[in-house]
Amino acid sequence: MRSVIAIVAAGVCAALAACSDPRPPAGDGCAKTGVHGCGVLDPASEEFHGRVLAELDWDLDACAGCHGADFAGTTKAPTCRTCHADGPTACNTCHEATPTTGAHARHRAGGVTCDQCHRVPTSWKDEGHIRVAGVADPAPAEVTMTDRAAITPTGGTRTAAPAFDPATATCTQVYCHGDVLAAAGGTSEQPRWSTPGGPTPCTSCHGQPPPSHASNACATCHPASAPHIDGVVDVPTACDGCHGSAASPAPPRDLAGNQFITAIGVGAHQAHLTAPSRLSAPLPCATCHAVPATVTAAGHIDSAGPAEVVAALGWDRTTATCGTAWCHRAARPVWTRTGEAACGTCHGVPPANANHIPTFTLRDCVLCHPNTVDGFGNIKFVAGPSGPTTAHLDGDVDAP
Amino acid sequence: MLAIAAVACEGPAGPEGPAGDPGIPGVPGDPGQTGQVGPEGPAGDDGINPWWTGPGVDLEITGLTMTATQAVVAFRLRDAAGVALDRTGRLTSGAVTLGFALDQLNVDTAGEPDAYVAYTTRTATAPGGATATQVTTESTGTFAAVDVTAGTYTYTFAASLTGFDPARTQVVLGVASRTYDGATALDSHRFAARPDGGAVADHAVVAQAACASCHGEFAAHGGRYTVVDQCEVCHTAQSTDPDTGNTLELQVMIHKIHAGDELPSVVAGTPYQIIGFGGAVHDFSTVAFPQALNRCDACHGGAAQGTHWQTKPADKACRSCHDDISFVDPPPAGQRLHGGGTQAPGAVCTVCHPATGSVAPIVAAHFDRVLDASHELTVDILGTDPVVRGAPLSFTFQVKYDGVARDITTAPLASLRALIVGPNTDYTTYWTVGTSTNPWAQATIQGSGASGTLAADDAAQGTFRYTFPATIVIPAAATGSFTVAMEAAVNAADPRYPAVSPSRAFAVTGTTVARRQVIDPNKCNACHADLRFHGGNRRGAGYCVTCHNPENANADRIARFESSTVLAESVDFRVMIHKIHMGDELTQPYVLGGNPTPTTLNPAGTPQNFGEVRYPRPRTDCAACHLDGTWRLPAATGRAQSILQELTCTEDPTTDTDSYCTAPFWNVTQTYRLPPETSVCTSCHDASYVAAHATINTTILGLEACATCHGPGAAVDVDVVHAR
Repeated sequence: MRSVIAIVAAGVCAALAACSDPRPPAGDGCAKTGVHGCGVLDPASEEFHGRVLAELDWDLDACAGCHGADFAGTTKAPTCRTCHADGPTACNTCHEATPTTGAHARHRAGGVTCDQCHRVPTSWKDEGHIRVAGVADPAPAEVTMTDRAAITPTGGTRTAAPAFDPATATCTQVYCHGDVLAAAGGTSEQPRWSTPGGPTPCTSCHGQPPPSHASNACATCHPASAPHIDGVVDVPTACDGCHGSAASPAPPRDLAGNQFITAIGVGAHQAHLTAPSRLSAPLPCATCHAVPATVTAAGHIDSAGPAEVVAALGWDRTTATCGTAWCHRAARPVWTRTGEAACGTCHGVPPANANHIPTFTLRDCVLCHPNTVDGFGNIKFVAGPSGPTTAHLDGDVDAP
Repeated sequence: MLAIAAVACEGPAGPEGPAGDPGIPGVPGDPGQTGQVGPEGPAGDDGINPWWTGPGVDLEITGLTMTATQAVVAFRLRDAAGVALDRTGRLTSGAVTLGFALDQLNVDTAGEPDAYVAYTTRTATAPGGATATQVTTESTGTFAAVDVTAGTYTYTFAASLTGFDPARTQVVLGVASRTYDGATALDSHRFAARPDGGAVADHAVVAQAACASCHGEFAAHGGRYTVVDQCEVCHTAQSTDPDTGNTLELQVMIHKIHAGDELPSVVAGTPYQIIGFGGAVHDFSTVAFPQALNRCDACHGGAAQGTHWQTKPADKACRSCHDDISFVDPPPAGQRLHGGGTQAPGAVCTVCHPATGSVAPIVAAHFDRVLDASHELTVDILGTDPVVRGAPLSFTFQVKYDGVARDITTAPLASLRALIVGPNTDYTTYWTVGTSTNPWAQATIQGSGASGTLAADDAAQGTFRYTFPATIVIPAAATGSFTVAMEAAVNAADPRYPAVSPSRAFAVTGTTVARRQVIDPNKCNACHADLRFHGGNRRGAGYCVTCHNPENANADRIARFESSTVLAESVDFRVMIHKIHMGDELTQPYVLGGNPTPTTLNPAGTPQNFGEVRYPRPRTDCAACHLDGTWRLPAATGRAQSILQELTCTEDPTTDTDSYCTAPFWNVTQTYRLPPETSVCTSCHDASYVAAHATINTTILGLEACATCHGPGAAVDVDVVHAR
């Protein structure tokens, strides 16, 4: 409580500069006329009232006995409010109401209230404030982090309660600074209280993006309008919260916010899901991806991007092609281009094998594949329980 | 309290008091002596009265700022000399009438520029009451002056900005009109911006140079718009002609206009028309594209997105030319079912029609085998042997194929021919083979009917020597210079890979003087791609004049009926080529017999009427084809007269059952000769009164006085009246 005492002394000294004028220093013609000596208002005096109060373990009630409960003075003693305008028991007698030491101001500017790090007394004489069990409580002020600092997020790595070490002026296991976030990748997850600087950058608490994230387009999944550092990771529960659109859970947009097929995250997603080429029935997401039941399901966002593709497809992100997908056979259309899949790119028209006569045209396909194509060679579609279906690209060669 | 106060009065000494006021300034000193007068400076520039303007109007759009609710275009107005104009015409002469159209350029799924969508539209009403939406310029918004002395203003659009996306390119097109001293000047300017600050995109599927190759400096809508990317601003999918119901979307309209007489719908009898301002009927049914219509690169080549015709086929664009294709079955009247059967709206064309591959690739379908440039044959005439009058000519030449010498003795060409023509003052003399009425004096070196002597000089270098057959000799009376020319092709059928026909002048007597060159063959090719005629072996306009010379009329191909008398038009190049390109502005028909020629079964032959040819640029623009100044009068001396021939059939129709005039009875009964200046001028100016005017101004000896009035500096100087 040393610092607090110093603050009290300083406050009293400041007051004395004015209040001491009517009373001469002790030993200079002053005669003790009451409970206080002549040096009661002299900060240099052993009789200075601040010293006396410290010796009384800051028992201000003792002062109130003569100066009144509100310290406005009584018939027995003058008012204290001449110097202590709000009364000696007001907070600002000992410390600023809005401290500026250390990182106080930065926290306050960030919306952190006193009670998130300190137990805020309702009265000067609350137990543990400046007195404990009737005696003075020494400095420094206790740091008691509850509330946000103590939050342990889902998947968090908390090993102890949040704490402030006065020796190092460092907070540990504090949620607010990302110290209990799993692999957040922050650069200053145990910040020093006394480190000067401006606003704390995003990267001090977590990477931008965190190592487990595919993109730094934060707002893609974490809406900017959602509260920050509130113990909740605001991730939408619907697929299109991060990718796709209201019309479709598949890109566009991709996790980086891309809208065009030239981005690998967008590519031919819609071409597969809606199959506008009518080369096949629309393909469900599960054809190429393990579809999570929920956003937080295992295997979904708990690993670094990009999204995993079913291994059997032989997806090669470098060339943006599928190497072993039977759908396209050896054609390997490029994922990020249009017009890659055409009649004849996966198999010849007719296929070059013994079962087909080289002079066959598209109109001849129907001769042997009547369930698959019509007389013009157009792929036939029929209504299915969950959309149009076709015998083309269904894994079964429709042939006699 | 008193004691306390007294103690307070005896306190320590107070602080030092403030400084006193400054003293009064002293009296100023006396001024120094006046210096000497300096030398006189140079005179300043003449001042410009900011309100003293000249003719013309220059509209420059300098900025476009847009939000979801407001679009403001900033612009500058100046006269032709760059002097600022008052838009209202109160401070400067002639108010400026302005209109602005505003579009958004959308993108496709790949992010590439796709289609313009205009904010500024109107409802157009046909005389019959039919209505249609059209993109338009507007002027009903708010004009504001920024600095009239600088000619700067803003215009805030009135149109709603529905669909505005700040990440898309926004395009404003402005048009200005100003009448000064009775003459109205027009100007237009296009400006693009991205409100989000991103890179501006452009929908560039056609390069301006491609349009200019045929149209020169075209000017549409009365001269208001001169650049093709201005057309796209209004000719969006939103625009329709209310009279005909035809879309005015550029990708449809422009294809149809250029397809013209080849449009299946036109061939089937339905004209392609658009009704313009004031009810003017614009019928494009007679437009003939000056090269193969399927050569898409003619217009799209060289543009930034000039391969979209290959990679982005679309129903609208494809069926603008193939307008008889139906995607529904049964097809509507006049249409036929798509070769791939019915197709749902939005079907992906590239499944069957990618650029290459698949079952009906676009590039292959739009490939002009005639112009296949995958191989290149070159033939150069290296020189002639000493000329002996009365004897056949020998000359040497070199053949290369794809840049490599070709030994044509081991790898003969499908066709290799040579001819001699002269004199070079004006080709008139050439040699007939046998008694044919075909006057061309060609000798076949390789191919069917070869004659003469071909020998290798250095076969490894592709150099050979050819000696004409004994029937083709240099006339004994020949003087001056003549020309030997060749035509050659690798294959007998397309792709033939013909060589650009070479020619070389040689002296029979005196020194060698080449025939005049008045046109640039490259200018022909600018519009015609790569000119080749008569089966495709004769390549390059420079070769045409060897046969299409003044002594050549269309006698051998004109219709030859019994009991008929016909006039065979001149096919002299200077007459023929002008008349062909004058086309629909001729006052008299110009009909030539073509191939096949008249036969017993078809005495009419194959007449071709060039009266429907529509020239795509001002016909007064002589430089479109000619070398500079070659059209000036007077013509050089020595030019030959162009002939027209009257042919009469004297065959008794009762002697046989056909109506074809057999040879003994089909004769030239009259030859008309047009003096050189008259022939060329009246090829375009073909009204009878012009012929009378020319006749009156030509002496009985054939001397023409044209230059008296039409020569340089004369009252009706050709240069002046043909100035653009």
